[in-house]
Amino acid sequence: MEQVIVSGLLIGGIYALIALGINLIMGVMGIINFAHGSLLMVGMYISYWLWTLGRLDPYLALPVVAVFLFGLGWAFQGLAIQPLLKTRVGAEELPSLLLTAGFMMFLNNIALIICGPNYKTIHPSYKDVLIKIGSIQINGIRMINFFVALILTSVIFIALKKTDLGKKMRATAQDRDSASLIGININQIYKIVTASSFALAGIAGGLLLPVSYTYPMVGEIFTMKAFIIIVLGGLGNLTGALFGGIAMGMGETIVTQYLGAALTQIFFLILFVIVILFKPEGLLGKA
Amino acid sequence: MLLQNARANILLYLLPAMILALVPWLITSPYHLQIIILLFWNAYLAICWNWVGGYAGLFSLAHGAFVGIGGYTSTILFLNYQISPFLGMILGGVFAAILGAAISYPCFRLRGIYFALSTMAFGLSIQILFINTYSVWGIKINGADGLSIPPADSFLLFQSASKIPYYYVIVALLLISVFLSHKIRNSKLGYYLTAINENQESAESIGINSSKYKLIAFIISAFFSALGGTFYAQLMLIMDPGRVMGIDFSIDLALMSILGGMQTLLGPFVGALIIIPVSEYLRAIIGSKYAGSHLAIYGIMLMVIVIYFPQGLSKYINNFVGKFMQATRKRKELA
Repeated sequence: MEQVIVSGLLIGGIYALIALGINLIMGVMGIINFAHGSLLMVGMYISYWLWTLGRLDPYLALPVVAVFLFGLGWAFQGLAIQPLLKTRVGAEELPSLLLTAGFMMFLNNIALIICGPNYKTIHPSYKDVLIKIGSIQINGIRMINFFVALILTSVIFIALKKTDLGKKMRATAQDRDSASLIGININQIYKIVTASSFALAGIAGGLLLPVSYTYPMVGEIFTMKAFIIIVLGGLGNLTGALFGGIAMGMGETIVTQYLGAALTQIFFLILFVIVILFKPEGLLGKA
Repeated sequence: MLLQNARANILLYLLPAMILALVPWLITSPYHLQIIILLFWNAYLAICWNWVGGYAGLFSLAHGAFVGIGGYTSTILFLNYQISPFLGMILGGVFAAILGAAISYPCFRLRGIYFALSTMAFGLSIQILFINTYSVWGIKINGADGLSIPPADSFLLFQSASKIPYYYVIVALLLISVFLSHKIRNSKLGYYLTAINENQESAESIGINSSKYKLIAFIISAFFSALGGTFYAQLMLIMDPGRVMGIDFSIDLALMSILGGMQTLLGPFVGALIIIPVSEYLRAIIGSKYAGSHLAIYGIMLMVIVIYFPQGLSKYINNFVGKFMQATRKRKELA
């Protein structure tokens, strides 16, 4: 059992990172990003090809992945979200869901054309290193991933709280029009938010690749989980995303022990609806 | 004058009816007829979706599940008890209506996106349940592989070797859905739904029971969507949870309504008229060479439609028809 809880906790760190990205874009812009998991898939593939073609270590590849996805996010914001927001002031949530669903289809199928349908992973030399703590065995990579995710999440929290840019983002999230009135360049903020969110998804993908597999549709399941997490943690609530992610990771591994994989998915989907219905501010949140 | 109008009206209905009736003789290639059947099937389901998604403003992503329940009910009844799918589809509709009521009722107090996400969660749950169930109480479900229906070539069993009977069945369903759509729009139910969609609070303040009318719309929509599920199972002779029960399919239906124009009578039909041929031909031309390429282009199409046609095409069509009518009136006045 301890083994299960610890591995749940470790995967929960990555979940938190994924949910943080989706929550950022949701909280600041009200955009429901269905393509978030597909961006994670893109990150996985970039990392895969950098390793396969150039033997670049997946951890050294993280900055490359992040920069690429940051650029992609910047472009997507300018080419798709900005024109969408222009015509749908105040009613952008549903159209954004369809827009990003289209983007998801595009990315998944481009990946299918370029990389084929097969499952792919990489085997760095340290892949099977095990760390023993008492009776518990932990995969070294998962351990590192957890701490990388935790550090990244903390950096983002601090940046949002303390830096000028972070304050501008939070101001924009609270009230777009007032933020614009006091001289914040909203479009600039939006571009940075989307690009950062994309980069976070890519980094999560890069971290996951050595311990799992990538295939064109790998993202869908992560998108679903991320939505469940941000609802559990409270939409737009960033601390909630962190705890929601860890709770999801642990809850999932524990529930799977009793219900099996399929029923566990259903369990969380129903939980998701129950939370939306009865505690829309999230399990931890204050109204 | 009156006579002239009546004649014009009859022509207005007769002409499309004749064209619809003659299509199987004009288009003899089974492949093209199949595309037209699928086009009408999609249009039919998009019209059913529009009753909740367009008229009532309830962006449902659970409709794929209703279509699936319909297909599974009639198929299971046929395979296990030899009940004709014509009967089975009614029962499937009833099941879907009950399920639709159970799913949607608790979610009515959620606004836009939360309603969409909740119905998506329910729809996904049902799909996952079917994918992972192999048999229940001795009844075969077959998980992701689905159930295949043995070919019989008997119209009583809702089957035929030729595509033509399928064509007439789907035309009948489509006409029923258009007629119902028209009826709903011009009834108390339709006015209430429009009022609720525009502003729920003020609708309730003048005494409209919003949950009741949303529920009625949802039940009707789920029932007829399920009939479409049976049609699909009989046309393909297989019922599997992959294609029609997925979220993608529900999104497709929404997309057709949006492209054509939500809250309009024929908007979903216009949307299907554009999307289905384009995606079918894309599949035939490039999809066969590079797996997935047609879907990648479809994804771009979806994005372009959402960004650049927020009101749908019906706005432009209405403008055009309006101008045309004006021009005719002027010509008559001159003469």
